[in-house]
Amino acid sequence: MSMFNINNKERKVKYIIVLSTIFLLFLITSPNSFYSFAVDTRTFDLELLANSIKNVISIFLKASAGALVIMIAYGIIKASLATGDPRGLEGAKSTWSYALFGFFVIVLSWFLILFIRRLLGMSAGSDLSPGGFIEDIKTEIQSLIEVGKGSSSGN
Amino acid sequence: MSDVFSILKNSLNGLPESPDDRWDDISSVLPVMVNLIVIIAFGVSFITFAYSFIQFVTSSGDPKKLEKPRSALVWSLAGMLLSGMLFALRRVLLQLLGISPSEFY
Repeated sequence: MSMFNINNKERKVKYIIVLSTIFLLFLITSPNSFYSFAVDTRTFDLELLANSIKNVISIFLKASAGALVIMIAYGIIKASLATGDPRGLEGAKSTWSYALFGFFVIVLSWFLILFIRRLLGMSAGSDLSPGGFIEDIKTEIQSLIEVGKGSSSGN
Repeated sequence: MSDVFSILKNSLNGLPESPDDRWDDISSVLPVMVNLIVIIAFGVSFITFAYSFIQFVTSSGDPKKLEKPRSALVWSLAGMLLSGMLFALRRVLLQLLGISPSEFY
C-alpha cells in the first residue's frame, strides 16, 4: 500500500515537473515574456515589467478559459463512453462540476482584484481587468518615482 | 466529403497565417488543443450515439436490454449538442474574462 502511494506521489511529481517545464519553455520562447525583461537587466524598464506581468496574467486567463472548455469536452467523452453505465455517468458529472467550480474560483479572484482596487482607491480607470490593475500600480509607482526625483532635485 | 474536411481543417487551424507567428507561445497552442478536444468529443458522442442506436434497435423490445441503450442515446445526444455549444461557450468565457475572442482564435 505504502509502495503504491510512493509510486503515485512520484508519478504526480514527474507529471508536475513535465508540465511546468513545458510551460516555462513556452514562457522563455515567447517574444514578450518576462524572460525578455530578465535578460536585459541593465536597462530596467517599469513599462516592460508591467507589460510582462500583464502578458503572464493574460496567458493564465486564456488558459483557464481553455481548460474549462477542455474539461467540459472531456466530460462529454466520459459520458458518451459510459454507454448508459450509471457509474460512468457519475464520473462525467463530477468532471463537469469540478470544471465549473474551478472556473468559479477564477471569476471570484477577478472580483477579489476589483475589491482590492476599490479598497486602495485605484478604481478610477475604465479597464476593469487585472491588466488594468497592473497598469494602475505602474502609474502609482511612476508618480512615486517622480515625487522622489522632485524632492531630491529640490534639496 | 471535401466540405467536412475543410471545416475540420479550418477549425483546427485557429492560428495566425504567418509561419513566423506559429507556436511561439502557449496561447497559440491553446486554440488548437481546445478545438481538437471539442472535435474529438463530438466524434466520440456521435459514434456512441450510433452504437447505442444499434443496441436499441437490436434489443427487440426486451425492457431490461432497452434501459442501457436508452440512457446512452440520451447522453450521447446531449454530448453532441453540448460539444456544438462549446464553440459558443468559449467566446462567452473569453468575453467574461475581458479577452477579445479574436485575440485567442
